[in-house]
Amino acid sequence: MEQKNRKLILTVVVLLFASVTIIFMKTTFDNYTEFLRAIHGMEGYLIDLEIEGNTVVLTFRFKNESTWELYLVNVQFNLYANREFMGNFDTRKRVLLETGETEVVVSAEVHPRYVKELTGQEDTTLQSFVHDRSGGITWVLYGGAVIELPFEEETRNIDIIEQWVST
Amino acid sequence: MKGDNLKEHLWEAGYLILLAVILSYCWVSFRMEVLSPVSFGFPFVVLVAAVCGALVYLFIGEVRRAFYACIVMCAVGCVITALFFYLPSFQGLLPEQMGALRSLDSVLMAIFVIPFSAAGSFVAAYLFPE
Repeated sequence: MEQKNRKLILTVVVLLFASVTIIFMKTTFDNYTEFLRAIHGMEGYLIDLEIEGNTVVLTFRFKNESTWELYLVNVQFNLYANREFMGNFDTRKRVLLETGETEVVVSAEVHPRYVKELTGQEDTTLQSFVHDRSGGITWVLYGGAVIELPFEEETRNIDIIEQWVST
Repeated sequence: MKGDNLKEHLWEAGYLILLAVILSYCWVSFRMEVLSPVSFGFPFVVLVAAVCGALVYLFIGEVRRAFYACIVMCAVGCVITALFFYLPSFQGLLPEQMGALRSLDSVLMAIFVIPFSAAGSFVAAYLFPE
């Protein structure tokens, strides 16, 4: 009888701990699946490229498949036009990426030295060069974005490699 | 008599599964760190393994059977851990290969947890002889 009582008390104690544990396990699993959605489901791609003077205005679309509110903390890339290096750009603005798609506009002001290398002429802007040129320009962008997760300064990087032809 | 025996065995099995769930969560929280509401360090995990081993002995009351029960409890705990890491692949959130690789974490868990739970049951047997 005494052994049965002991077993009963042990079972009740273990059952209580196990119940709490199961709740925590469920929360951890939900967080883990959201984390995987946030990391593997995050995409960033170029949807538009416009030229204003010597400034290239790039519009990126970021897709957040998780239910978490993530932050885009940086977009950094090297820009090439017809294989000519146009510069390394980064934008360190904090942008909230809600569930779904968010568009982020990045302005890249190309240094006149690189514009001259591309156009081969002084006092020609990128905009007028593209306008006058019949073949168009192939833009290539190599870089990435830094995404902040809703934990203490936890970040992940995603690659952005894009190509665009402006005519 | 037979029915009583079966009831005892079922009770014992249920008890071991509950302990395995506790053990498994401790390991998962250790590995998941910030993703878990409560994050335990490695020393705490092995301590829990030892306490679970002691609880197994206190429930069963026989050293030999408690030792085998400890191994069964750890095996069940490892299976729960493996499922935890593999389930996202099943949901299509991770490539299957990566999920399978992550679920191998349960092997590492077994390496640490089995000796400590057995040791826990032996210590309990020493302190509270049959």
